[in-house]
Amino acid sequence: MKCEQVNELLYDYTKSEVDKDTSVEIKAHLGLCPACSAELEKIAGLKAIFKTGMADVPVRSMVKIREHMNKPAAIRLFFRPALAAVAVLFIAGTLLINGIVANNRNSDLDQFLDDSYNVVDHSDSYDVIQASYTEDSAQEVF
Amino acid sequence: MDSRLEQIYRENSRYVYNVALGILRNKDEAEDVMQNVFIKLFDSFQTFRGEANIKTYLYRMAVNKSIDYIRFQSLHSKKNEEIEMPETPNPDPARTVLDSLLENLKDDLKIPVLLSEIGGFSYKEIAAILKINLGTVKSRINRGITKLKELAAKEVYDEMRTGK
Repeated sequence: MKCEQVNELLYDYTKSEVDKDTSVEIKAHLGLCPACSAELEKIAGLKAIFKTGMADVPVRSMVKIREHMNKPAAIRLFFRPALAAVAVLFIAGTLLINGIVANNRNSDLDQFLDDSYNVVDHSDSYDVIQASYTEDSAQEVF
Repeated sequence: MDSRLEQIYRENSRYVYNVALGILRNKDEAEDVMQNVFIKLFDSFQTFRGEANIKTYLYRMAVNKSIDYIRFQSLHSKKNEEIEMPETPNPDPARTVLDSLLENLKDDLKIPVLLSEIGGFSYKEIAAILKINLGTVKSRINRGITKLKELAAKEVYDEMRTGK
């Protein structure tokens, strides 16, 4: 195996992401090649930087999470943005629909009241009634 | 709180926090992301099956929420013009070195490397977390590591030159 090939696979080798045969070949190459061994050292150095550079989690984080988990489920729901948004939309939608329905109901009532106050022209029917009354009364008299 | 949840937190919080910190390079934001990730997991804990499923979920959420943070900042603030790192009274030298290396690595290379080195995940697991194929994970990690090696060498060279 050539140095170029080994270098390409060196990180994969440290992660055991190469097959067994390749791993054996790389190991054999590293035993004979100082340049590739130096590259492996660089990778080991990077790994050490990652390991030692890790920060500790602030203790208050667990306290905050505990506080959240100790809240009743219904309250916790409102701390979940997506669900809270759905809940707000649902409530807003319900209020809007109720508003429209209530508005329509008011319109129906207004219409009914308007109709009640409309003056209907009964003059024709009055004449007919008057005429029949007169005829009936005449028959009764005579 | 359920002891099982506490155990999940104890085992994973440091790694989730450091992956978020590696992406965001801001302790407060990383803490915020980490808390939100665990709260979301614990709220929907009943729906999870298996440890692997939970770990994948935790890290996917951490990466996605960190990326959302960056997007939000670049859209809604001038932070992208000049990123101000909060000053720490006694900065940890190892953390400072890691920060300066990650600062110069693009997110598409940085995130798989963080998951590999901090999360300790295999390439297959990283592919599942990031929803990208195995070949892409492998190539991004190798490009990322090559870049980091160059940056680390430069860092050492600069230190030697300035005598720090």
